[in-house]
Amino acid sequence: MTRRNLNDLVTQESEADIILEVKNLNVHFFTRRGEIKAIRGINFYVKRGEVLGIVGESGSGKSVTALTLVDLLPSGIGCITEGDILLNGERISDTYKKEYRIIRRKKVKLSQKRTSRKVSNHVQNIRGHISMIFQDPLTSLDPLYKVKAQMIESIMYNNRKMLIKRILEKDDIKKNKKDLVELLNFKGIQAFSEKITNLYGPDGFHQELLMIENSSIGETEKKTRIVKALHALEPLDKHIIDSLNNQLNNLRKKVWRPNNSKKYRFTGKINRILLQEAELYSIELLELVDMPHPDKVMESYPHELSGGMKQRVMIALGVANKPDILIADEPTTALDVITQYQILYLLKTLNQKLGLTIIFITHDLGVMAAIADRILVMYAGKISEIGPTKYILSEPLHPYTRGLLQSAPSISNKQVDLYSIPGQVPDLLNPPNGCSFANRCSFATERCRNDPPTFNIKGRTVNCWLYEVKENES
Amino acid sequence: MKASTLISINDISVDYEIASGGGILKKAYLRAIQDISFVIKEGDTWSVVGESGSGKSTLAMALIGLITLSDGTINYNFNDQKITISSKKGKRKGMKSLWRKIGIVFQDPFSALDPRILIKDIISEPFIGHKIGKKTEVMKRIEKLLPLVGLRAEYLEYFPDQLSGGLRQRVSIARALINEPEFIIFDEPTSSLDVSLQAQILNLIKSIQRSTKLTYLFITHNLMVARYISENIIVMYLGNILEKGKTADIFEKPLHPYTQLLMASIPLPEPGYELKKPSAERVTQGSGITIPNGCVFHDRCPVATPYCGWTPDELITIIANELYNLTGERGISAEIISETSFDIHVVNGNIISEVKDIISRNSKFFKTFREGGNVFHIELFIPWKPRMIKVDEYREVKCILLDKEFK
Repeated sequence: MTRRNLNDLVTQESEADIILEVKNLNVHFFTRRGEIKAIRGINFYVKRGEVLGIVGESGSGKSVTALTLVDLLPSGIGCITEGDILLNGERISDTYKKEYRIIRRKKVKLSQKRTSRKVSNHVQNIRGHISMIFQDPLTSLDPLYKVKAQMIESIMYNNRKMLIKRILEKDDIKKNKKDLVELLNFKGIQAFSEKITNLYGPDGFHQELLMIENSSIGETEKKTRIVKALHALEPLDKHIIDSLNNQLNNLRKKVWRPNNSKKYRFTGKINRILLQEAELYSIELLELVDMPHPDKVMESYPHELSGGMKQRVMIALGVANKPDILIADEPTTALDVITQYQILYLLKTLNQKLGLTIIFITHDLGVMAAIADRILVMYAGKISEIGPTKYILSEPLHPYTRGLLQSAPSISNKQVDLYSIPGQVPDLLNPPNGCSFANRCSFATERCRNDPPTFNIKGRTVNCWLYEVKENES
Repeated sequence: MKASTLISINDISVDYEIASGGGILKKAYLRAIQDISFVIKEGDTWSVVGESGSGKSTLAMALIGLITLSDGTINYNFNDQKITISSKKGKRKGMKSLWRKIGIVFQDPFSALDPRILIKDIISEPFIGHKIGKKTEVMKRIEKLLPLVGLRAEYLEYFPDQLSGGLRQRVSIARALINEPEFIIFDEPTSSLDVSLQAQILNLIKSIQRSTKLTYLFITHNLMVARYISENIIVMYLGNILEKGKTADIFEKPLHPYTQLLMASIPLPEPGYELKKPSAERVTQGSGITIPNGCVFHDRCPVATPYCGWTPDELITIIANELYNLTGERGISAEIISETSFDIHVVNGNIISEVKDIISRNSKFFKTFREGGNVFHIELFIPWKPRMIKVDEYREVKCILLDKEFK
């Protein structure tokens, strides 16, 4: 098993280009009590390879934002009413618009009849680019199936194309035995192993090669052993390769998805080969997330794993699709401090090693400080402030951010009384006009009755009237 | 004035039956908490800190008498009566009066309140259930309580689903206070709340204590909350107390490696905070079914030595190797008698004196040894079970490595 196969999980582009852009997004929920305006006009972007943290209280719309991005809003109830989401410059928010029209037409009868949204190619495409891990790893995994079954199932449904490619590439080694033997004889072991590392090896072949290379036998003896190992590999039957190629061509035309009406069964010889490959791939994924004893974990049921291990399985599944963006919705809230630290470290290394873009949602500012490059503070469905982590933590601009920072009990100095923001989060059925934080804010003035525009201050954006003058000065 | 003892907990253990047995199958137990003893004085606030599965909640349940103890006793010294819970069955007489004296606030305010009854009925339920007074009295008590917990009178006619998380937790606290208890247990009351709400609830809990002089036991996994709310802290791991003492002392200088690890794992909301490679070696905590030999924490401890988790097997190999180095012979065989003792049979009579020599040299690990012909019976000494070491009046720590330092 080699880890290098996974290095191409995420395209490694160092340039800070914008991967996701959200423009004037509005998300409403149509319920019996009325229209809940969960998100009211937010604008932000995510740079490739960064960790964007979203902070806010419950009800501030941070989870709804995440669900909107992966198209998981409850169908027939919640939808985008305005605004666009651009992923790699492509609009992905079209389906909602269609649904909004449907919902609007039948506004009253909504609670009785939910419009069911068919999983379209388009949606399947989004899910290939953005994946999500959830708060509670306990409820994210099915208790009835082994980890193996759940991982393989997901990989077989979503990554069929990649599995077939891997099998075909492995078979290339087997077919080109003659060329490889020539390369070995004329250019030596070094060149041979370099050539081999660029290809996916058949199961166990790379280990065998490594063992032979590191053994203390003579050069010629090594060569003969490698040739022997090469000849022991048997290529796949021609008709299997043909049908794999055939499938691959079909998959290129459209996104493969199982027929929902019939339960799809993975039977037949080709599927068996694919299943084997999927199992190998899922072990590689578990190794990627530093899971101890991946082989054992594959054979165990979710209840046999600890919370941290379950979350690792979820992260492995999250990166299986080679996503552009991984959304982590409070992935450490249900874990204790030590495990939380390990998971945070894992996500940070994934971000740094693979260049994985992460949108991290939490209400713990300490966790934010540990993982995020930039922080987005949300309040009552609107953005209060966006800026680099160190500036948000050292000199928060928005009064709400200041309140949040002050109300966390600190470990370094003991306070007599904790600061708490007075008042309560506004009801989003009838959100207040103007700044939604005004009724809890000690700086509130007359002008706060009007909606604050976005002010830019030294590369940070803040939505608060307090900074009106400062922008004009600078 | 020195506060008198309210509750004294003496070496309590709790086992959960995980397999009921029958036929050839054996009964199996999970030791949830083991040999826990501490004293709660009147007006104190104790925090119990630990990972999930460390036995925090079991300790709380044992204190309310909701589970039978397998070992030890708990003595309650309330104003008007004394109650004792012990491991013996059939001695559960004083339970009802105990429950009258103890209030409890649970973790999740969403599942702790019955969604089908009104707030006023939720608050008055313990009062009526324990037949403390008439129904007319309860409304008077509730009216007195409302300003204390920060609830408006109109909320009494609401159902729980009409209230937000913070308000529900206030209702839970009001329910715990209605019987005028002397002791309240908070089981992670703020872990499902947001930061700003958490601050409100913590302030409320503290202000209630200031006005009523109640005694608190606070269960949490958030060290910062523990620091804010309590004067005393217990650090638990796999059912064992690893460290206990005054909060200020523990935060100033954590002694046990586990406490140090816990402190180091808290991400701080400070600019420039950086994650370092985790120092905990193993990912999982282990379970109470197979408690590790020696120190319960040794297999994850970043500073553990071989002494922390020795088994007789390993000791025997060490002795055999030493003998081989000395004499060049492998003239002994060994047999493990129990978890803490083993026998060494000397096959070759010539090397008895050398074996004696080795054993006496390792006397700091062996408790006693008895000689009977060619057989040495050896029992293991301290590394086997680490004990509580008294550091000062309040502080105790359970770590083999610190044994010498504070002897």
